Amino acid sequence: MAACHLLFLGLIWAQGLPSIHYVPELRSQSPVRWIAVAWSHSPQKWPMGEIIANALILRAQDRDLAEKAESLGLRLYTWSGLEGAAVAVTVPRVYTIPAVKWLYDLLSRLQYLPPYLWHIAWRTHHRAWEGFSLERELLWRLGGGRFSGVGFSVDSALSYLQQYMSTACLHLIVSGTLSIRDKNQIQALRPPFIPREISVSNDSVLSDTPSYEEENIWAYPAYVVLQIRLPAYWPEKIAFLQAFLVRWMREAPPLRWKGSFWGNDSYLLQARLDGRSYSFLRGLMELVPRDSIELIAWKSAYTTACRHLQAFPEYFMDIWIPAFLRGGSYTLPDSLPHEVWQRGWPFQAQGIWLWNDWLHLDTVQVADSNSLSPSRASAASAPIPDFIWTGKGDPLLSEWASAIQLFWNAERSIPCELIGYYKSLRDRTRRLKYLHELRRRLIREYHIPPQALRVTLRPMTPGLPPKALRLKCTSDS
Amino acid sequence: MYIRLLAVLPFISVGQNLHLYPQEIGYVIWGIYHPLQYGRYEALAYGIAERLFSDSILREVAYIHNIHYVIQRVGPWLVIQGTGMPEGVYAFFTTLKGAIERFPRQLQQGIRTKLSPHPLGPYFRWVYEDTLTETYTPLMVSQAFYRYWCEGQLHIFLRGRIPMLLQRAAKQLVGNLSQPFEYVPPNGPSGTYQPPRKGLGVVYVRWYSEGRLSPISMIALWSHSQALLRFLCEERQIACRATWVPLPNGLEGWIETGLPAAAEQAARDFLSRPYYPSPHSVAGFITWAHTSDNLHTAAWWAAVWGVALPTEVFSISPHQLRKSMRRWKMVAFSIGE
Repeated sequence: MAACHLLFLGLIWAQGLPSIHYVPELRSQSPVRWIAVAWSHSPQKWPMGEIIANALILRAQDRDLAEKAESLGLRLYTWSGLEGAAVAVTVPRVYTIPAVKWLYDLLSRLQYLPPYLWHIAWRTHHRAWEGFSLERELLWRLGGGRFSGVGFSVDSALSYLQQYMSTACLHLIVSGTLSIRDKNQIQALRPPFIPREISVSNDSVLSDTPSYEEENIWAYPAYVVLQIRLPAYWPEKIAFLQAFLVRWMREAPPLRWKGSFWGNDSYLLQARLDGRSYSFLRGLMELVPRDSIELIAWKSAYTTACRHLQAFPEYFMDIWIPAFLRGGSYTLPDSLPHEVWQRGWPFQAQGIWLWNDWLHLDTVQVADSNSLSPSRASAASAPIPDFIWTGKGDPLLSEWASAIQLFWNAERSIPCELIGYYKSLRDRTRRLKYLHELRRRLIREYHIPPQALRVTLRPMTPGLPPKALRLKCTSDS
Repeated sequence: MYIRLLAVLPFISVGQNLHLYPQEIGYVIWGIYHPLQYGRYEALAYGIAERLFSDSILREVAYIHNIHYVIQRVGPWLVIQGTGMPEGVYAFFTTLKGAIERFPRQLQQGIRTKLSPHPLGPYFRWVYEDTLTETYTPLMVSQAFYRYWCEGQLHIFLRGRIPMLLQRAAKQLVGNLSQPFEYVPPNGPSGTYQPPRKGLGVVYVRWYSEGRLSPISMIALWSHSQALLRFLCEERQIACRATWVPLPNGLEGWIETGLPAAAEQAARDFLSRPYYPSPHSVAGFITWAHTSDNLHTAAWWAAVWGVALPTEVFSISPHQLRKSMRRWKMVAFSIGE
């Protein structure tokens, strides 16, 4: 028996210990403490990180864990991004040690999650992205590839656990000041032990084929998903973003927006806009203060943002967790030098721009253009056709034909789709005939290759004009 | 007796209308609470506040100091709540005082009565039988303005870093008058707005008591309200979102649902059962009260009850919690479109 114990301890020892970060600046003097366990992964693994985070939320509903969480007053938060993923809690200060134990306990149970819960975790991830296909596509393309559906199996999740969540890879982050006694107790706690070999038999592979077809882009006048380049210096990232938000909100506020830090040097912005706000974003080239009033407003916004970030780290895990995982400095000065503010920053945004339900601009450059053939490279720099005709006037067949021709030449074997919509089953034949007639006209009059265009009929989306047509070309179809 | 056991957020009440919660979070969270008489006259109160806060100098000061605020009706209050750095909030409050002094000139032009943009706005108005069709004479507008904005019938709370200068600036807005909270509860479900079996609606729940209010009854009530929401969300799966509005003698909850009749029945079932809060609710309450989303509600709850917010977990006997639960009376009904 003793030998078994020694062997087990030896295995744990061989796994190493997690690195522990104490951060007195965060939630300082708050009666509530923020505690996070984070781990790094490769950038392409961010969806799997999200699935792991969902699995952790499901596992936290185990009866004993949930009761313990309630007695400690725990609140659970998760995050996944390019750098890694994390699970965090907020808890009254007096329960710091039990909260760390609870987190370790939660992580240790992950490897015993039954397959059906893994599948629920995967479906939760899938559903969360439903309706945000543009954003997801952008994320994949910024990573150098294109989203073409990802299969999920429990074995892939377990191999993720082995690869990225071994003890030595974990980072424990504890906010606020701690006594030496508490620190010793935390260091003495044993993190979860993930064995080298875990396997599940009869595992089925779930494919991530989207159940939705397209987003309801008619719901708003303009829509953008953008990647905004950030300055290199860490406090300047916050300053730049605040300056941008102050000016944007002042001059042309969006209808609705959300954003998060994505990777080391970019901010991902998704917004519904009106025309004024859209023009503002398209025309913004640099952020330089116009006068001393704007300069003061930017400085003030930066100071408030820093206080807010430090007071509530659980809401800004996209900032703090990557900062710890990268291992650089994470302190934020109270203010930046005056020259930095006066100099300003260039504003570079690339992404997908939709305007007034028909124009679709795509300004994402493919990262590794050397690996592409010349025709593909030209297609990457040219806009991908996505036209919507709302039923007013005549369809712009010549414009469509030239776009299809260009796309066909660049992408070769991938046809474009001419999409029509029907209201009731009785309409189907009539609408389909009309679509085929348009296709015939495009082939005969504009000489597009017959293979370059196919016709699709779909049920009507709410808010869509009854005669609407959409010409959509995607290279991942 | 139990106050001795509690570590609390220092609570200072200046007069009865200014409530301060010094706390080292680096910036200031503030709220101005405008009572709506009998829960009515929202259009008038919002129209005045909207015109007042659109003062060009005030807007410029808010821009320079990055003061973010929203004006909306919540339950029987019109609430203006925001955040900012202490020096910014000081400048903002001082300018607001100036805007109030300049405001009578604007009154001559009349105001456009408007409704606040809160998504639950219609439900608030239906339950409190607020009328929108009433026309307001210039005399009524000026009387309402003087009553609330000049004679100190507002209530202000400040939470965070509160220097003395900021306290003075806030005190200027509420004056030296000590007005007790006036609150008249709604009569009950209105005959006009009977909820449909399916469709958007809310379940209105109110806990009220005539007795003395304490941090322990606050914790017990919080625990009960959270348990109700958990029951409706996890067990019955009919409502998962609620807005909690502290009242001078209790708490009201506006629980959003797509099945008002079923949710009302479920809420009544739950509330009719005896409830025994766990002694561990203290920890849950502390985490809740210090979470970014709930800072305003928690501070206002403590202000309107005149009690302190606990900051450290303390031991409490189940008997004490049960005793504090016994006094609460409850009303629940649904209302829908």
